[in-house]
Amino acid sequence: MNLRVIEAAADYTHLALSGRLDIVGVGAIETQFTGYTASRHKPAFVDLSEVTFISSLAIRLFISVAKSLEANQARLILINPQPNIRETLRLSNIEEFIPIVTGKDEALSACKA
Amino acid sequence: MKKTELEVRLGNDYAELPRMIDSVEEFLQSHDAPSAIAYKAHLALEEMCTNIIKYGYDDANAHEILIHLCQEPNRLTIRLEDDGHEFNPLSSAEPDLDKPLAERPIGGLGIHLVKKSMSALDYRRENGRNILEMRLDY
Repeated sequence: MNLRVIEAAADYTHLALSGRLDIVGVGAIETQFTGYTASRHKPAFVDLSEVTFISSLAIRLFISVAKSLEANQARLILINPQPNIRETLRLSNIEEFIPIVTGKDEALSACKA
Repeated sequence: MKKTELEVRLGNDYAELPRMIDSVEEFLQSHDAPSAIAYKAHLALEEMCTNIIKYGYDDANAHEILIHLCQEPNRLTIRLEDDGHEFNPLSSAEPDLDKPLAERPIGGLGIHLVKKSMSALDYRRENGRNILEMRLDY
C-alpha cells in the first residue's frame, strides 16, 4: 500500500493511493492519510485508480475523514476507482457524502457544489 | 471445467491475511475465474476473516481458521470454519446506510457488503465450530 502526495495546494490536497486497502494496507497509511486530509481542513481529492482492493475498514476511514472535513465545510472526493471498487463503494451508499468523479477538474467542481 | 478445490489454513493473526489472499487469487486466476468473482471472493474472505480474528476468540491463544474453496463450472463456494465463540453473521443487524453522514453507524458494513455480494450464504454451528458457506454463481 502506498500513499503519494500529488499536490498540497493552499486550498486543496490531491493524493493518490495504490495497492490493497485491506486491513494491513489501511494500517500502513491511516495516520499519514488522516494527516493529509482531515488535519488540513481543506477539500481532499484521492485518486483511487491504482487501488486494487477496498475493505469496509477503508470505507470507514473515508467516512471518518469526510465527517471531519464536513465540520470544516470541506469535502472528501474520490477519483477514478476501478469498476470492482466502484461497485463496493456503491453498495456502501456513501456517494451522497463522498462524491466519486473521474478527474481533478471534476473534483474541483464537486468541492464547490 | 471439472470441480477443483483449495484448502488454506489461516492463523488468527491479521499479518497472515495477505498470504491467504495471494493463495486464493492464484487459485482463482489459474482456473480462469472472472475478475469480478475473484474480487468478491477476496472481499468476503477479508471481511469475514477479519471479523473472526477481531471478535471471535475469548482468549489470546493461537487459533486456526480453515478456508475451503470449491470451483465448479459457473460456481464458486467458499467455506470458513473457526473454533471461536458462536456467531451467526447472517443474523446481525443491517447498518442503516440511509442516515446522514454524521449519524452513520461504525459497525456492520463489512457483513453488509458480503451479504450483498454473494449469491447465497448459509451458517451453521457444528461440533463447537462456526461454519459459514458463501456461494457465488456466475
